[in-house]
Amino acid sequence: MNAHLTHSSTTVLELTVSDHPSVLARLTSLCSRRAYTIGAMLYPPAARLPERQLWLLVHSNCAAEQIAQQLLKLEDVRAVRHHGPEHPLLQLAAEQVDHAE
Amino acid sequence: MRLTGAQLVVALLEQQGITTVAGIPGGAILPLYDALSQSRRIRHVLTRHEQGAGFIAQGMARASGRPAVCLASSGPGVTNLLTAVADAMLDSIPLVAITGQVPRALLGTDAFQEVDTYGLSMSITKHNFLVRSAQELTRVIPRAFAIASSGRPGPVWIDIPKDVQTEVCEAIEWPAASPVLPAPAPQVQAVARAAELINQAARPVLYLGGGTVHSRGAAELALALAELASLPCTMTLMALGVVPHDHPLSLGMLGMHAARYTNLVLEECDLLIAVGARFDDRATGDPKRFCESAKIVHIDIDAAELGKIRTSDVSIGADVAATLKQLLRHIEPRTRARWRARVTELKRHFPLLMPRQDDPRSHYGLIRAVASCVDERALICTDVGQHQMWVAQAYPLRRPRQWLTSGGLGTMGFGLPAAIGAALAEPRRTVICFTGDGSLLMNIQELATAAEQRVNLKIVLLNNQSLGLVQQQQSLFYGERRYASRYHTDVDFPALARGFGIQALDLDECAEPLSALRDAVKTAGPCLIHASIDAEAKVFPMVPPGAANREMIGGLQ
Repeated sequence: MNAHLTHSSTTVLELTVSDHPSVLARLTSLCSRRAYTIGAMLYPPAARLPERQLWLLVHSNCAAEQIAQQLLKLEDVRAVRHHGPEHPLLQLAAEQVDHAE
Repeated sequence: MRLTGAQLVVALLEQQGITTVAGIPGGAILPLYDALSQSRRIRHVLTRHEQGAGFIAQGMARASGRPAVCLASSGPGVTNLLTAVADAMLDSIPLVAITGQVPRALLGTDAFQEVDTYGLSMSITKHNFLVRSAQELTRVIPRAFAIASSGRPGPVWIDIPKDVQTEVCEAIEWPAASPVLPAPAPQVQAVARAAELINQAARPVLYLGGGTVHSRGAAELALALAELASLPCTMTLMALGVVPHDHPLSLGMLGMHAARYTNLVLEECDLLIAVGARFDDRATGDPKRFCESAKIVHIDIDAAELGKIRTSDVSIGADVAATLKQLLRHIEPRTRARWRARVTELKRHFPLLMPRQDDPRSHYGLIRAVASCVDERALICTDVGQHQMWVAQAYPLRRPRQWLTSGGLGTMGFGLPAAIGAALAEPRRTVICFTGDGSLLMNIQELATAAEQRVNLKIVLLNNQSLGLVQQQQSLFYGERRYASRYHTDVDFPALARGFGIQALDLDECAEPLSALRDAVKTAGPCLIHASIDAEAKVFPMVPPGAANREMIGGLQ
């Protein structure tokens, strides 16, 4: 696994968001302004409207809790859960990077 | 009942208790203006620039604590409004901005006066809406007011395409009046732990921020806590007035332009209790070296502020008034005689120096002279720059919401329109707007609005023909290379004011400036009071940007 993906400030956040066309714009705008680098994103079709689940792999110098709190300030973000390094998204992203190299 | 989208907006604003809105019409918002013309409850204040409308709404909101509304058309109306909305975001002011947009079919076609309002406003609002049907308005408008005034307040933007404004709505589901969304309750254990730290502390300081103004009842509770536990109190720029300036526990403002003793007291404290404050760089200096040896209790309704700049020993993410109320039950009375004596000693050795404060022809003297003409019922507004910091240091503020200033964004041009808004919200009070020549010229056109509305507003202009704080930084930190900070045209401000239909007084030409000032302040209606000040005067002490608060320049006896 690559070092930058196992950096201590890499985290996977599972978000419950409103199913709204602008929700991705809001998330990416917040992440870019606060220097939370999005390493990977999983946004499968909704199982249960009007909410959807979204997984974000984020690299940052900020604590995961701080990132979660900033995301929770968005009206369209209803809930945030942290996942540890064992989360499959992190593993998948690492595999993709290894593959590309 | 059949209503157009525009009529629905007006009815929903009336339901929210809105009685005054500020704005400028244009093509894309004309249906809404047409509906507004039929309202018997809402008065429209026509401004000369959309930024003026945004700041007038801010002035109303800051003075009253309730959400206020501004209106603009699409395109340039929107872009002109952005600064005022961003300013509201940084200072947590409840504002609802409503703009017209091109018809739905033209969205995204680069139509006349089309900009991406939604995209532009996204990062400077708590939330924003692009309304896609008239029916949505019954949900969107109450929701916008609820968001603007709940939790940490802030601005909300509603963009309404022109054909949504004209769309006829048949079956209208009237919403209930929007409730303020509940804030998380203070965590009992954290409150108990905070109380324990306060009870044990030898050298505590209470650090009050704008949250103690926004949270209803918090200012009184903070003062009660301070008095019970003998906590010296410092305030951020946003919280000035929460503790009366002459209260024995008041340390005044902290940070970049604090009195030396204030920053030195903070250096020595062993417990910092931050209430509704966000450890802003202008308050803390280098945050790593701010209150280095102190434990920290941080109370804020915005959980994202907890641990954002400094980790704390106890964090409480809840309404500050609710938390202070609980906290007070656990606090043991203390006199802290040694700590209070040490504070007094530091204050005696390192006081705030205000040279020539008895001379109304000096900057400090003029501020004190104006203060002597009014009582604490007056509202004090400022623009941004040297005059703002001198007023923050020298004006005897005594109550929350007495003080209106642009803190977070630091927007020159804020003062005049915000003061007009405050005067509209509080017509029985005198409003004083301290401004500088640089700031005043950024929204000078609103003098026409002030004249038209006959607001009881006294604009006190400290004219140094310069961008004073820029010049100060160039003098101190850029080898005296003053560049682009001096105006070479001597604007005749009294003549300009008279041209707008406003009375003017030039203190430079008065043999008895104090009595002339008193007469001008006592006369109802808008008036410009002009005074030339020394362009070499500086705001001292000053902590260089990025330095620790202990590294102050100037202000020594």
